[in-house]
Amino acid sequence: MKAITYDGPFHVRLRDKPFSRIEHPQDAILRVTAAGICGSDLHLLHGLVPDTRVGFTLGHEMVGVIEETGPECTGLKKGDRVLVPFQIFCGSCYYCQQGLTACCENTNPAGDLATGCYGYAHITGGYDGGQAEYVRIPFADVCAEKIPDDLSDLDALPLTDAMATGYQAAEMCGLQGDETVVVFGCGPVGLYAMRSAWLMGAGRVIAVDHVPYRLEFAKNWAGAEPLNFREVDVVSAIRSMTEDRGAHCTIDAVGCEAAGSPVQRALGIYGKLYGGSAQALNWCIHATRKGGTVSVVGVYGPPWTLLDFGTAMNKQLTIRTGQVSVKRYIPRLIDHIRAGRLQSESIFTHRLPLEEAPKAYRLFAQKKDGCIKVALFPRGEPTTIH
Amino acid sequence: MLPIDEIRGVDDVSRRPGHEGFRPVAPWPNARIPPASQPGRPSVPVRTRAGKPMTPVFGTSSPLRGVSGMIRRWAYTFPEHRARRWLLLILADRVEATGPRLRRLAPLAVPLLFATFAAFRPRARMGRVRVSMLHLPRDSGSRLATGR
Ligand SMILES: NC(=O)c1ccc[n+]([C@@H]2O[C@H](COP(=O)([O-])OP(=O)(O)OC[C@H]3O[C@@H](n4cnc5c(N)ncnc54)[C@H](O)[C@@H]3O)[C@@H](O)[C@H]2O)c1
Ligand SMILES: [Zn+2]
Ligand SMILES: [Zn+2]
Repeated sequence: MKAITYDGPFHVRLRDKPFSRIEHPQDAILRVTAAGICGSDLHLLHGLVPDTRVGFTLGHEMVGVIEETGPECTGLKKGDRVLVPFQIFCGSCYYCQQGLTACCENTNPAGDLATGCYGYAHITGGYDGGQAEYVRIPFADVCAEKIPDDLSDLDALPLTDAMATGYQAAEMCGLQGDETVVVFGCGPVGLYAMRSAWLMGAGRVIAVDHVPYRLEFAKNWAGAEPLNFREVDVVSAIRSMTEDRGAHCTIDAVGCEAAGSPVQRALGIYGKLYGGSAQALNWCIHATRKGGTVSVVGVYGPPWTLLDFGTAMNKQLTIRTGQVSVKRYIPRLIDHIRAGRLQSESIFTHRLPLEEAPKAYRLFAQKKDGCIKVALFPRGEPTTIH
Repeated sequence: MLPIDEIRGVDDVSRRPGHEGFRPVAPWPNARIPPASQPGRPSVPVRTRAGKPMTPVFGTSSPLRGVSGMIRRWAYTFPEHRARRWLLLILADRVEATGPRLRRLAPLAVPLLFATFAAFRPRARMGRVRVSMLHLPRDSGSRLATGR
């Protein structure tokens, strides 16, 4: 079967791999109809996540049709159209029972820091990803969610990751109404975080980035006030917009490849001396008012990060973090999609056949051609997009 | 999609799924307690922390192999709170990435290697070890060097 694989830093490669097969009684095999490329895939592509192995299949955002089920996967049958949260979780452990499916302790033998994920470095369990024709889905009838008939594949695709992440990012701000929220990063995650902040009653939403078309998108699509950190001193600008105090809440939707600091980039990204650049997170800490909240969904890899933690401590900040526990958000997000409050049609600026993934990665990584997000289609784009 | 004015504040705290008490503490539908165990071998070493139990499911993609595999196996013997584990994993990644890098360089490197070899041939001809020269076949390299 065709699969997009990691081929060393900055390279992906289309390979012919053996078909996915059932390896556990609760497994199912998914025939992928659409797969997304996420900002997290870029961290892998750029060699920033330890134990990223040459030849493994990328991709943790996918929707498709169930092709085969294991003997104990009784909640799904062949032909069901499903979306698959990017984490693999058992549904029964201590964490899963509390709704923290992103913390499941039953799917990652490699360590304790994260649960099993598709198409991520082997520190998350060594599972092949969904940028392929087929993918193995462990605990399939627990994890996967049937897609309602009124939602297209592309409506459902961001529910597997980006939309849920943006929503959780805003939720972690604990908004009560009328707060000023600054979102760093105008990628898909940041954009969904902006709209979610409005949903939760924010009084003002400010968007920070340095890619002009993305700032424009944030202004038009998410109603945010754009701030280009190449043009202004971003922390001072935010303070001057907020009675010199800083925002109530800031969201880091950038992660470990943040631009804006040559030192952080030289040491953390090019030198690979530690887990990437923490520039966006440092700006969050400085741009939040005392007693405020920093919500971090941007991904940082081990081992460590050059963080201005002293400032965070002295300012009595609350720092909330996490991979999103996708599963619990799906019903609420489907409500929002149906009501027209959230949407994915315009986010997918690029829709390409799976074979063109190398080009897609290039466009997305270099922020070229107006690219916000890419959907890859292993068998061509379906004609029934709403 | 609705404009911001029409969506603002729709999600009050009680409607947010991460809100405490939103969902009772309970297993998810179709979950088995305890889950069955997957047969076979995981592609990550599991001796990562004394006492960490084997998980019921695991990935089997891209098993350990070669020099990078040896380094990775070693790395995983250190627990997550030891920097050594991560630094070794990063080292293994760089070692493994030389494979594809060489493969990508091959189309350029092989002709270059021939050219370099050829460029040094005339000097060898003038060298002291005359006997060995008799065995050297005329190849594309020497043609290149003589400008033919
Ligand atoms: N927590 C989770 O579960 C989860 C899930 C999905 C994605 N993520 C992470 O969220 C982050 C964003 O993902 P995405 O898909 O939107 O990626 P993306 O690459 O499309 O967006 C990142 C944006 O940040 C901008 N940026 C770079 N440096 C910046 C800085 N210093 N300040 C402000 N903006 C800056 C970039 O120009 C880019 O537009 C990534 O780190 C990704 O790994 C986390
Ligand atoms: Zn992701
Ligand atoms: Zn679990």
